[in-house]
Amino acid sequence: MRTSVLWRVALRSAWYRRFGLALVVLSLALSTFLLLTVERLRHDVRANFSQAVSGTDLIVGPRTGAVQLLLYAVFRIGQPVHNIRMSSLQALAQDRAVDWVVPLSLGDSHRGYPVVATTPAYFEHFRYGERRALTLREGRRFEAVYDTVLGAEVAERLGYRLGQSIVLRHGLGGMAHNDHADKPFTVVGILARTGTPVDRSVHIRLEGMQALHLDWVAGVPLPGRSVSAQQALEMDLTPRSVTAALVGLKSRAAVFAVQRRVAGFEAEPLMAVLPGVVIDELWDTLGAAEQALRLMGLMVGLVSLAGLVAVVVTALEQRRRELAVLRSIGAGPPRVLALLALEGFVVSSSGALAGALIWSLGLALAAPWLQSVYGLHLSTGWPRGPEWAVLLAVVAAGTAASLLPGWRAYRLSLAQGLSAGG
Amino acid sequence: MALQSTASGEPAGHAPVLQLHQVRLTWPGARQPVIDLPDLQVLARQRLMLRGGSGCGKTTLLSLAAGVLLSDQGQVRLLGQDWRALRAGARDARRVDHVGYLFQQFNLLPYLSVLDNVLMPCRFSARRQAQAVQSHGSPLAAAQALLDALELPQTLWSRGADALSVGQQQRVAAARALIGQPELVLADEPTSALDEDNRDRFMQLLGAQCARSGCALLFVSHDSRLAPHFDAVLDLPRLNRATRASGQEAV
Repeated sequence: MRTSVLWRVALRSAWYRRFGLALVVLSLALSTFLLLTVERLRHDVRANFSQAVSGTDLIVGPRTGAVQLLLYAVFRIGQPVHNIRMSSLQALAQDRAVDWVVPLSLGDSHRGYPVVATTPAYFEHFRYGERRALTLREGRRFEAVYDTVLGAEVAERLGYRLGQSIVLRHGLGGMAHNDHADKPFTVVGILARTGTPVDRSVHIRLEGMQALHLDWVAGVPLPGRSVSAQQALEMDLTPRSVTAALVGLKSRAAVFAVQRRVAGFEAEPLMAVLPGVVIDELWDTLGAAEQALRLMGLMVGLVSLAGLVAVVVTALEQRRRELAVLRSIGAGPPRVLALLALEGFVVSSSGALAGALIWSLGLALAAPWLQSVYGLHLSTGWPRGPEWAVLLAVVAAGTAASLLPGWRAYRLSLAQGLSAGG
Repeated sequence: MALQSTASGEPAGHAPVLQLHQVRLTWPGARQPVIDLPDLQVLARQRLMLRGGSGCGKTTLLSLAAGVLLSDQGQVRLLGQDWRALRAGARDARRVDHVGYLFQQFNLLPYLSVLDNVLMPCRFSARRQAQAVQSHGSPLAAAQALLDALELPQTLWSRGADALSVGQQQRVAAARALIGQPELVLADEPTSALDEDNRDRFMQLLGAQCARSGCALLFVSHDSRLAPHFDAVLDLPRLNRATRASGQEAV
């Protein structure tokens, strides 16, 4: 009976201090929100990176370093030393385990953004993130030789619209005399943001790439032999070589067998890499970034928890008199401590819950915006894995912090008797 | 050296409610004891004042009497039972059964109404509840009778305790200490925050209600002007050898 009285008193007491308690809950919720956000960012930045390409089982290219092949085929950084023959890819496409082959040809650029020449199958098969397909924000896929589809960032940064004419430049350098000024391309489509290197790419057809280089040899225009854009259309524009190819298999189980067959290809030296594996290797070499995020998360955590303890302790410090009165009418220290612990637990659980709710809701609302503006794909939904640990830490720290004043009050009552002064 | 309270007006034939014998208490880490008391007793229904300025161990002594603090040596017996022989939980139960406590100020739980504050001891103690029922028919009737006797306007009874003036709060606290007729009421300077008129009236009412309920009153204060309200007045600094010792050091 006495215990039930104490609970009733606890409720009345909490209600009396509801404004202060609401502030404590709010502060806890904000800490929780911050901690969860940092944790999710840390996780998803890595996921974003490692999911720059997905659904592609193998990347095939000339024999070079695995990371180098990945860098130019996926991240469009650097340049291949040499190309692979189209005929080799045609042979590969005949392999019974191979489902599709998307050739990529790189080497040109537009105002610093890499040009990727490929086939329309690219839009069918290229996947990023959790097997997400590319979508067009406006316009259509390329059809004509001089059509181009821009990545979201290219269009946004350069302010391009559909129907606009752009000039591609040979190579990745900045020399104006390397412009393919005679063969301008028309923007027919702009892709939605992906948060992958696709956003920074200018996509054209392989035939377009071929047309650009009809009158070029070894990186320079052939003097006295210029082919107009119109003339080029009447010529054979089938490329003889490409830079690399994305390959999808009918069954992932065959991936190592196909990799071996590519490596043993007789007509020319080729190699095939598993993109996921190489991306992970690459990320590990860039591990400092993740360490920095992890460290930041830890610091944010420590500061939030310290703030949380301070808030809870301050709120309870004002209850010393109340605790002294309760003791004088027969509520012993164990009961009073239980009371404080319960209130601390309820308050910190409410804070953690409110924080998680705000966070889930905020994430669901902000995720599309983050995706479209920053290309940062944040996964939404309820907390998972280490995020539960964050929530538990908030509840545990809040409860522990609420015991501190109880322990202090108990010590003080030992030192000062039942004195309610203070 | 026997400093027993043998002042006049002591009702004869009553067994002591509270007995302290050779009590010593030293704070952890301190060299000098804070309490070193050869003998003190409070008889049933007796109104005893311990007079002394700050720092003479008044509050500590009350904490020992209430069983909140335990002495290092000697005995503190409430109704013949030594506090030290009881476990913490049993001490809490025994305290609320037999002792009412009045602080200097901030006596009340601000989030409860006046009546709920007064009724708290009955909620924590079956014995106090039973005695309130026996004397007034119900704890509520007992609380109302006490508030009435302590001249607290009826309009305030259902108000929150934090809406009252300090003087009114002390009357509510007195009612809470007295409800269910505990054998002993301990008061720690309850009048120090009151003005003169309020103080004298409060003392009259407290004394009258203690007499009516049959409670003994142990009252500590620095204020000698309160002496006429008591059966006996003892000088705590003279009683407490600990403060005498430190006093001599100071000389």
